Amino acid sequence: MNGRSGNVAGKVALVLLFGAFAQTTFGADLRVDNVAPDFMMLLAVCAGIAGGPQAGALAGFGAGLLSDMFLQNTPFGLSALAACLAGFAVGWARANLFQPSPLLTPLIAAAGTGMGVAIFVVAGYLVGQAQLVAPGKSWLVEQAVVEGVFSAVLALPATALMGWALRGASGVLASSAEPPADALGPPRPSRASARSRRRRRSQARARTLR
Amino acid sequence: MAASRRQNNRFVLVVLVLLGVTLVTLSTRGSDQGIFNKVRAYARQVADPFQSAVHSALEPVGNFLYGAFNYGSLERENQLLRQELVAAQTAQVQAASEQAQAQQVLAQAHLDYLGAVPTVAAQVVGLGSANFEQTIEVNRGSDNGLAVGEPVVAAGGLVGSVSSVSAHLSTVTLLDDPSFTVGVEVVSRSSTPAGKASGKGKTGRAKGPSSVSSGAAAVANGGSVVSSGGAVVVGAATGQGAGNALSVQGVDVGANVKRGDELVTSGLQLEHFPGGIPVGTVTSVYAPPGALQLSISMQPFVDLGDLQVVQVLLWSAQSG
Repeated sequence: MNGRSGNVAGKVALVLLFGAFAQTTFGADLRVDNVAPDFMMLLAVCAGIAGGPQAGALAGFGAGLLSDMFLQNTPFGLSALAACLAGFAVGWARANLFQPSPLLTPLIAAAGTGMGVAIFVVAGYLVGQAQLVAPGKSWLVEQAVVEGVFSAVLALPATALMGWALRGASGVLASSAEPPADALGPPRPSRASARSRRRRRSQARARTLR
Repeated sequence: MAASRRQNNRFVLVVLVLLGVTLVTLSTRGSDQGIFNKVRAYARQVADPFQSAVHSALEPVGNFLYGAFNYGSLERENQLLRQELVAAQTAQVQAASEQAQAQQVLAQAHLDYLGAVPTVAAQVVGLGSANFEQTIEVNRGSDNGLAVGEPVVAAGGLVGSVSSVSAHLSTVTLLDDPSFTVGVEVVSRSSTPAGKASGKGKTGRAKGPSSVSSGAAAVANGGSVVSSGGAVVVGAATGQGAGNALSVQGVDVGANVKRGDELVTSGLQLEHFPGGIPVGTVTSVYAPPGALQLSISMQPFVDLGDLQVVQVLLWSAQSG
């Protein structure tokens, strides 16, 4: 059990480090109307989609801490707080409201990213970071929308990546949600369960014939 | 089973939120030399080689795509720049003779030559990756004499100020960052002869030798310091986010400010910038009904999205 948790934690850390590398290198250059994608928030949201609320909260907190290391004018821990809450909220919604699908996952990722941006701004404003709201509401809405679009475009591969990272050594998703679901569609029944169902049907038929 | 799992989820969330709030509180109350800033400086040093390598590899691709999508506007901009170059070369000749005259006047008054502020050239090696901060990384640090708070200029205009320094790298907060504020003074394009100030009240300027030579150029280009009832028109310019015009506050309704006026750093006492550095041009002036102050927007002279090399002024408010 501890080995599986360590394996999952290691893979998640690797994915988050890759995300931080991408954010600080070519992420800054991929700008649409001066807005760059937020890969760390995307990974937090996708952890919630793939692994449920607890995975979303933990991965979001780690992703936010990595983000905070490269920020200048906001308090350390603010991005961690925002990403943790966004990841948890998306994971909770996935566990209680809907089953992710290839069509729904990009929309959820976009909405989750927008929510993460809003939490970051509101929490920042509450701790005295008035510069976050100084440019005005329309600028903030534009940030949230463009970041959401970036997340929607990258949602499927990011969710697959987080899904791989959250799988334990036995291949079972290390998820805290019920029931576990694949973000790329509902799971297909295994061959073993299909064989046992055929055996039971043939036994029932044999009893009927007797 | 499901209930215990939900309880576990909530417990983890509460713990993480409390940890996050604790980190934010400690970071807000900490000093500039605190552990969080040291962690950030170390992270930047680790990331810098990767940033530089990827930036160098992707820059030609980015330039190609930008040129392909913006060919028409690039051509128009090229023609405009050629015209401005000719005008600037003419003004440069005039400014050179006026600087020589200013030197003579100052020498007679036993003052140091304005513009003797030492500078360090630095190359931009990375852009800030966050959307709520407008920053760049430059390849000079404390080993080159840089310190937090020093002004940064490029192509004759203000770019921002140094906000954090490590041994070989520094982060510069740009003019359009919402947390950036600079005191500015309006320089109007009036009929007053070049080199003469029309206002009487040039009071409050911080320590004589603190202005740079570009201040002399701003006046020598046919501008004059605007006076309104004997007082210089000053305000505070604040960034409004990437790509947005800066907002100038603190200018009373009735001040003689109009579209096209140029703004330079005021260099008033307690300012973090020497006086006379060109900042930008007024793009709109609006007097809201019933307001006591004008609503002014300005565009910086420097193209903050296309910085390659900057100059860091080794200047501080204490030393002048």
